[in-house]
Amino acid sequence: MSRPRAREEPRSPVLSSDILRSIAQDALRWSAADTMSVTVDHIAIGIARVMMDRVRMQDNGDKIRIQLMTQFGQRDSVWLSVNQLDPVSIQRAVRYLDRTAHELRGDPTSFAMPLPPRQYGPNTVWYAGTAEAFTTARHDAVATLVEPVIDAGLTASAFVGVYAHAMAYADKRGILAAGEETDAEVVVTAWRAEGKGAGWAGSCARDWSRLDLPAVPARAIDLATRGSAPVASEPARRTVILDRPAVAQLIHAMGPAFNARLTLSGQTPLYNPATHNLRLGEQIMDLRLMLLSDPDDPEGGYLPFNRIGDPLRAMTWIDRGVHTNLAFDAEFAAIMGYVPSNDEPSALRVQASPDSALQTVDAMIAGCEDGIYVNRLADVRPVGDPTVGMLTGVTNGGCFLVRNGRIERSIRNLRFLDSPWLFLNRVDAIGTPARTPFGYAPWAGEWPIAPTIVPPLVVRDFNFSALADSI
Amino acid sequence: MAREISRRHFVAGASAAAVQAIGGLTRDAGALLGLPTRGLRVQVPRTARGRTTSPSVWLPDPISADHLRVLAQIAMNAARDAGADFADVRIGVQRRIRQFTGPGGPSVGMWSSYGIRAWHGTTWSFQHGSVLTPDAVTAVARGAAAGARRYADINTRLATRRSTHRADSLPSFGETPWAPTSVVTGEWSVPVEIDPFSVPLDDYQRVLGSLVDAAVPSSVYRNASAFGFWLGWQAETRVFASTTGSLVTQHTLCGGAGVRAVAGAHPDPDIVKLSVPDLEQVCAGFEVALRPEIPVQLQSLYNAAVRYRQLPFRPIRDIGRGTVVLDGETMARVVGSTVGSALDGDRVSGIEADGAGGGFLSPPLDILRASAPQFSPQLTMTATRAFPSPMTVHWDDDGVVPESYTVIDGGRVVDFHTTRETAPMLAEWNTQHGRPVRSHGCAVAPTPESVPRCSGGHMMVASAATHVSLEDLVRTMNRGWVVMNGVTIPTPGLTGVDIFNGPESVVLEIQRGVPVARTRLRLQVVVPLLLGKNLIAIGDSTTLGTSAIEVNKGIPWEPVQQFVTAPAALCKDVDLLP
Repeated sequence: MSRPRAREEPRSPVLSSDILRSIAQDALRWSAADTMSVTVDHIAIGIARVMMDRVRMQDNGDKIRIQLMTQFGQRDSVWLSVNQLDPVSIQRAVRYLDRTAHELRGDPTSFAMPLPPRQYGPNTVWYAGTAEAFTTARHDAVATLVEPVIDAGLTASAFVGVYAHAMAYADKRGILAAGEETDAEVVVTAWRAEGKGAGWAGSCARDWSRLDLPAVPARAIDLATRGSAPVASEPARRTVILDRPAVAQLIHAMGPAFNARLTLSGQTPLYNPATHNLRLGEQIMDLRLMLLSDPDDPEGGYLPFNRIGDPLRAMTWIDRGVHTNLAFDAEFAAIMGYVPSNDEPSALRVQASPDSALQTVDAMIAGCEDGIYVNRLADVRPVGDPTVGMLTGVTNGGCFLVRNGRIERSIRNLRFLDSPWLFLNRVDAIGTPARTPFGYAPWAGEWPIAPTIVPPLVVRDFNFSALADSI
Repeated sequence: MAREISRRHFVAGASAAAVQAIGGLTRDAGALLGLPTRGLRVQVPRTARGRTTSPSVWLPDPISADHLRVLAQIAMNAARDAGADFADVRIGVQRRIRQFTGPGGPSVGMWSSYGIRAWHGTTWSFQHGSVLTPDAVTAVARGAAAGARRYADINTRLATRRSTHRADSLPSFGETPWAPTSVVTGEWSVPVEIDPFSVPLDDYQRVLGSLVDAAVPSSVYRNASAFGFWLGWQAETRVFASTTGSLVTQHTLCGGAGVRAVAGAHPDPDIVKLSVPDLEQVCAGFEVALRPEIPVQLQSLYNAAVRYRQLPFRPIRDIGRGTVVLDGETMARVVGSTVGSALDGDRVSGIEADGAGGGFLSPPLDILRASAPQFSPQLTMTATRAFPSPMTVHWDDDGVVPESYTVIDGGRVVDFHTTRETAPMLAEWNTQHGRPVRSHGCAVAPTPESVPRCSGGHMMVASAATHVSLEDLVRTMNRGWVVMNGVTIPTPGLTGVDIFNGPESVVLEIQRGVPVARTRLRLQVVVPLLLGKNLIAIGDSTTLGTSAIEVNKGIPWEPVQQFVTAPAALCKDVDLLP
């Protein structure tokens, strides 16, 4: 695995954060405003999509965004964003902002909370290999992903995506943050000839070299091959073996609940309406489970600051089943006197406590007398009372009946209706966590979805509410 | 300080040469940059000067259509020189304004971008950008052409592989040449009486104030309130060009007013909200907000909202099957999110198989040849992009002139939404019926830098020819529910849809044809049944409602919009869930 690299390797798809930082600092120097902040982003994507065994399209492009905010005294602030990088254009933008900001009124009684000094962790999410993959490796990957599916007599859909992002933030308080990140995801769906069954598999990593390309079509083919002649299985509460792609969808939906503002207003499952208290310190899930996020996570790391320069810190949200932390954003933390501040997690790691026994998926299947194996979920969305955290969606890309320790047959897809805040109390077995791809998942946010590192789980009494027509 | 900037298309010299000086806050001198910025959004100051100027003062002068055409032709020349067999480009500038009631000035913004497709054989590649300089568009065009060549080689390799492993050596769908299109030239604008970007911001406030005043008598006497009114528009100039010589310019404008009658006031959670229909996304200018009938409609809605709120709230205790009347807006969402989407060429052709998914109306030729109609004979649906639909264009994003067509006739599927790419899947059917293989003009790129995708445009479900009002439909119910402005979520495969209360929904319990209570419910319907044997009656033109449907397509996904207008419908045997 390549480590964070120095900048200016050849053919980088984005400008370096050093360049972006100097752009931001120049903009600050040109403004006479009392308060000013500048955020500069450069994003590049490279996409290839395969449908029916051929590359239907590739999509390349990049975006520049320079977001400037200016304020004089206690007048209202004004902001604008531009995409020109040359000094003359930025200077004119800054002058325009200063002139406009002078026109504003404001509230003389308004008061900005002083924020504590900032320290940022190291930036460990840029990998040169992924940057280089923009030019060659991602194109070569297409054949690696598709040809095995063709050889197996199935039809392939696939997605190869690479992403590079550099960002810098600077303001007149002297706060300066800059970083770069890369990401890559490949997904294959192998379709059966009659179009009624499919197997889905994928791989994702910040570092292109960590993608296990041959394993992806092999897995998709295996699932598709097993998925012939699915039968209907009665929806009910069942023991379910949730593989990592399914768990990732459910865990990702939990992140917003750790927002302190929402929780204190009683809008998340982390608020106890009976006692009118937060659930901090309560055991809310299986004692073996831990939920945490860490910018320096070797698999699930992210930039250690957000778009307004607030530091993002490592935090354990659930420790051995006990709720330990909420996310107080910087302003709210200063108001409430809470330290440290943090954003609600978008990247999450779920793992078993160190003294827990882990099982492989094969062992989970072998230990299951009567249950359902679910590869992936789709169309996951919240439903009902937000304080319950109920989710619904459908199984997708491989769903099988497990009897007496083996996969017995393929079954039709099912709709589920359950809450991770409830079913994570009904965990029978936990596996090894790994970074998990999402594929098509607009319900989870913008692509690429923040790193989600999850284990496979065995959950008892998981609620399947109806049959579903997804494939 | 010297700064190394990549020698890619961020060319300082080209952009600096076109920069205009910034003067005072007058219209002409309000230009920020000679080149339009990709994304510019600014909160207009709440000052005397801010109020008396028009939104356009706070934005750079939009780049002229002539300049866009020049850049488009530069891009096409570059793609041709780079060896593309064919290429096209969409390049455009969007301006937006939004003003709400209450404190705070309006938000105005401007965005510009472009996307270039290039073909090599039957393989195409797409590249997009936002820096509008000749060097930048040339680089993007070359990149698109190079990408097409690279992936054409890969596709040849994959096709060879497939032919050695498959018994069927039929060409893959993507290997079929796209439907032809003629060379198009011209310029077209949405007919607009008043350009919203030339209206002083004071007038925006005055119009909003007058709408609030129209609501005040109700709010004073009946515990009703007026909040959240807004005015907003999006204008775009988009140029399409191709290497075959097409060059068209379109000036579109869409927007309107958000005006709603609210019975009840925050923080009371028991609020009834009813929106004035056909006002929010209209293909027209500021004159939409000046329609004299708006205050009359608003008063009528307040009367209805207060009346509904006076009904007791009664949760549904029994589950099972019931009779339901869906108002026009709800019916439009049901039809649009299921049947309308299932007729999408991207879905039935398999393009979105691993994305937005497929649908139950495939394979298309089997559906067209079916011996029995798929839906009730009362269901007839057409699709159009003709004015004054919000989806109005003169040329789609493939450069095709859109046509109006029937998709469902008397319950039978007779056509699908097609683009140049997906039209050939119906070639056999069209040839049998003496029709040319032709795109219906359904290609939509939400922004110029977006990949064009298929959208059904504006689908219109035919209303009853005889007089059947919403009240007439309700009067026939011995017991049931009326769902107004319900929220719908389709199931994967689009054979089903959940219908439930949203923030602005009103659901009434009906007994012997009379509303007796308000309630919350969740319906789960099987669409072929709901629109088939369970469809008892549809309303007349007075019950028509329009809804916008958004579907996330592609990976990475992007929302693609379409509109549906449908009459109210009386349906039986609809499943109620707890």
